[in-house]
Amino acid sequence: MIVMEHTDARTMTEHANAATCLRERLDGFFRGVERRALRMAQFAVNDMDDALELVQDSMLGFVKRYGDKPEADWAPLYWRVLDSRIQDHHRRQSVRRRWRVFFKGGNDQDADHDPMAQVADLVSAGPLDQLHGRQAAHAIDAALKALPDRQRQAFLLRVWEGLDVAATAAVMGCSEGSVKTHLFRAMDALKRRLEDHR
Amino acid sequence: MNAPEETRWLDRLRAQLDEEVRDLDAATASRLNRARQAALDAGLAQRKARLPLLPYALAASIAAVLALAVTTRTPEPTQALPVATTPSTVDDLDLLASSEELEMIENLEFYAWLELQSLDG
Repeated sequence: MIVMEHTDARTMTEHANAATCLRERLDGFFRGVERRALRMAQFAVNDMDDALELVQDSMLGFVKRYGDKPEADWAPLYWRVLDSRIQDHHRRQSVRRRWRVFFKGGNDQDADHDPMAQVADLVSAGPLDQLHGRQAAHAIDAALKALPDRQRQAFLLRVWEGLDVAATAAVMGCSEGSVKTHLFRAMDALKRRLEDHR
Repeated sequence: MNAPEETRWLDRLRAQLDEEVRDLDAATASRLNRARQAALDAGLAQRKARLPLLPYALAASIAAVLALAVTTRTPEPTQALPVATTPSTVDDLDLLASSEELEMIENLEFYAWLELQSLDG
C-alpha cells in the first residue's frame, strides 16, 4: 500500500514536471514569434485589439492541438493556426458587412470602417526619396497593408519568417505554385510602391 | 533590379520590419505578454482536463468495436460432425447394427403372446 502511494506520488510529480517543462518550452517559443505574429495580424486586420485577440486565440489553439508535436514542427504549425484565424476573421467581417448593407438598404453609411479606406495614400505622402526612419517604416507598412491578403502573407512568411516554399504552402493551405505566384506579385507591387525607397 | 540589388532591398525591408517589432511600445508588449500567459493557462488546463478521459474513451471505443464485431459476425458454416472414434460410440453402433435386436423388435407381438402363454401355463 505504501509502495503504491509512493509510486502514485512519483508519477504525479513526473507529470507536474513534464507540464511545467512543456509550459516553459511553449512560453519560449511564443516569446520568439509573438511580436512578428502580432505584426502580421495587424497588417491583416488593421486593428491592434483585433490583432491581439487573434494572436491570443492562435496561441490557445496551438497549445490545445499541437502542444505535443515535436518542437521542430512548431513554427509552421503555429503560422498555420494564425493564418486560419486571420482568414476566419475576414470571413466574419465579410458576413457582418453584408448584413449591415442588407439592413441599411444598400447604403453603407459605415464606409469609414472599410479597411482599404484606412490604407495610407502613398502618392500624397510626399516624395518617397525624403523618407527616412519612421517615414520609411510607414511607407513599408502602407505598402504591405495595400497588398492583397494572400500576397502579403506569402511575402511575410517567405521573406520575413524565412519559411521555404513547401512550408509556406502548407501554412497557407495552397499549392507551391500559388505561393510562388503570390510572392512574385507581392514583390512586384512592393518594388513599384517603394521604388524610391531602395 | 538584378539579383544582388533585390537581395539588398529585401534585407533592408526585413531589417525595417525587425526594427519595428523590436521597438514595440511597452503597453503593447505588456498586453502581448498577458495574452500569451492567458493562452498558456487556458490551453494547458484544457489539455490536462482532456488527458484523464483518454483511457476511458479508449476503453469505450474498444468495447464498442467488440460489441459491433460480435453482433454483426456472420455465422460460421456448419461443419460435418467429426467421426466418432471413442469405444462407447463404436459399441452403440454395434448394437444398432446387430440383426438379433432388430429381429426382436420385429417379433414383439410374438414375444408378448409367449409371455402370456407362460403365465397361463
